[in-house]
Amino acid sequence: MLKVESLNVGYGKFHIVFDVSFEVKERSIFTIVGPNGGGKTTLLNGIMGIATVFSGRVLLKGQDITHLPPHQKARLGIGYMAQTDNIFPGLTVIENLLMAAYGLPESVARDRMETVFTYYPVLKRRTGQKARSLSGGERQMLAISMTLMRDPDVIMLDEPTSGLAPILAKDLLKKIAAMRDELKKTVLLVEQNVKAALEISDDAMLLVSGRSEFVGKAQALLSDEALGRKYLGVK
Amino acid sequence: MVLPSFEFLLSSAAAGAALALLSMGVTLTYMTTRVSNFAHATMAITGAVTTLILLDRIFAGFRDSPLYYGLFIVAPIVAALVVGALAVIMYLVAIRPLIRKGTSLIGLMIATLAFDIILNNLLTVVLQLTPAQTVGRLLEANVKGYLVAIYVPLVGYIYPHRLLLPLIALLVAVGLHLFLTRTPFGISMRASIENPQLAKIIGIDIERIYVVSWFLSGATAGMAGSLLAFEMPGISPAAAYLYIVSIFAGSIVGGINSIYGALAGGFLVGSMEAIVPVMLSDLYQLLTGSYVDILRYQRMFSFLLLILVLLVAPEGLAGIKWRGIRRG
Repeated sequence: MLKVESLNVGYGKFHIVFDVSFEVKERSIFTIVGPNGGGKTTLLNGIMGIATVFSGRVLLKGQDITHLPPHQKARLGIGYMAQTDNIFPGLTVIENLLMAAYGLPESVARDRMETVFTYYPVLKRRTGQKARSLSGGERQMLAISMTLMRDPDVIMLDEPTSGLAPILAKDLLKKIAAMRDELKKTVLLVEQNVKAALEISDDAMLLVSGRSEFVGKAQALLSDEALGRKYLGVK
Repeated sequence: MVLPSFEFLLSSAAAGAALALLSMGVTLTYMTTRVSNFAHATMAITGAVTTLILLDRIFAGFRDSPLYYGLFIVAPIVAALVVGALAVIMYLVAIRPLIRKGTSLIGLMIATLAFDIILNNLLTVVLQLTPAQTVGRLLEANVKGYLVAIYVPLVGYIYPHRLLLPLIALLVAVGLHLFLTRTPFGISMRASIENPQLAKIIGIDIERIYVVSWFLSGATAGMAGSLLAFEMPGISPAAAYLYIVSIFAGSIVGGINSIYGALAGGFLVGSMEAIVPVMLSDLYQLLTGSYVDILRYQRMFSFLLLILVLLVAPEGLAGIKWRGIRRG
């Protein structure tokens, strides 16, 4: 579904991600883990087109999308939830959701909204409220709902459980698994909550200092004690 | 003048309305592309020159016909389209390539200044290429000589443009509010202003939004300039250098990050520049018996207001928590 070939990414002249390759299979969860500052977010930003791609390719369903502008990638089927600043606080909940479906016919957007409300009913009660007035958990629900509004083929989530209470984080990871199992989506996940994330994942990559140290089955990474101890704090 | 006449209040409201439109335009391009456009006043003068050319070449022939009043409708629309297109060209040719090259905000500001000087000189050339007789009328004659006043019962004679300017400013304010809150494109513009990166990754083409914002900014400048042409004592491109300071004062008084604030700030600065000097001149005459034309120093008052507002509310009028004030 999504293939990354020898990707080199950075910002301006700063080279952060070096020669990274992996493939996210259809209807699977691929998780990128690694120490802080390892280039995980930069890699997602490179795939989306908001960081500079120095070389390499990004293929979506076989089509080279490397140098397309971000809004075109979104319209082609990549939904991206950034780690921070992932909602518009000055817009109402309904405006946020409608913007996430911008360009689609209004009837389609309204239908999608009803679908996301079945996942997060609390948002339906907040439609007219400014997003800035939502709680942290509700904001995260809104951000994920916005990512789903275009019904994307690939969903990229950058540390979605960050800042959430443990019970909410656990529930969110269950919902991510449901995206694959029930919605038949392909998920590319960056997550600090390593053990829980790898447990729901099919494949994984360990990214250290911008370089890929491991690419393979998530279970294999989870059971690799040496890598777990050295980089992930997993025993 | 002990009490201001209706005509005086109307002309002050017209001056305020023109500056409200101009400050709003400067704020709009600043909020979307972070560019302080120093060519904005020259764009308004382009609207004024467009109007004068229409007046001299087309409408002067209908002086004694009701068609003559069509000028007040046709000219602002034509000027809006011409200057709107000019603003888009400026963005596409000069500003966007510089933004893509990573030029600093100061660099972009200087680029608008360069564009301003080029446009200002081009306007002078356009006027010089016009037949000498026309140039004489355009540059030296008082444009009010062309005007026809309309009699309004109980009020007296008024000039149509003085009614049109506040009316257009009000329509623009209401229209803009509906556009920004009720239309998907308007909401996407607010979203792009709030967080351009998020707007991009959820599928909004922010480049299109930038082009539209430059068009709207130019169009409102052209419209304001077109109607201001009737207030100016002869049109000169150099007048832009006086207007630009008032435009920025209005924008900053209102709050540089608020479109509604810019409309309010522009109106306040523009009407104050028209009212306060005249009132002070009259008061001085009443007290001393001699007359001093304080109107020549009118911009001093807008900057006094600017300093006062910034001291009380550093983020301008839009930064004040009005609800809190009302509740005490």
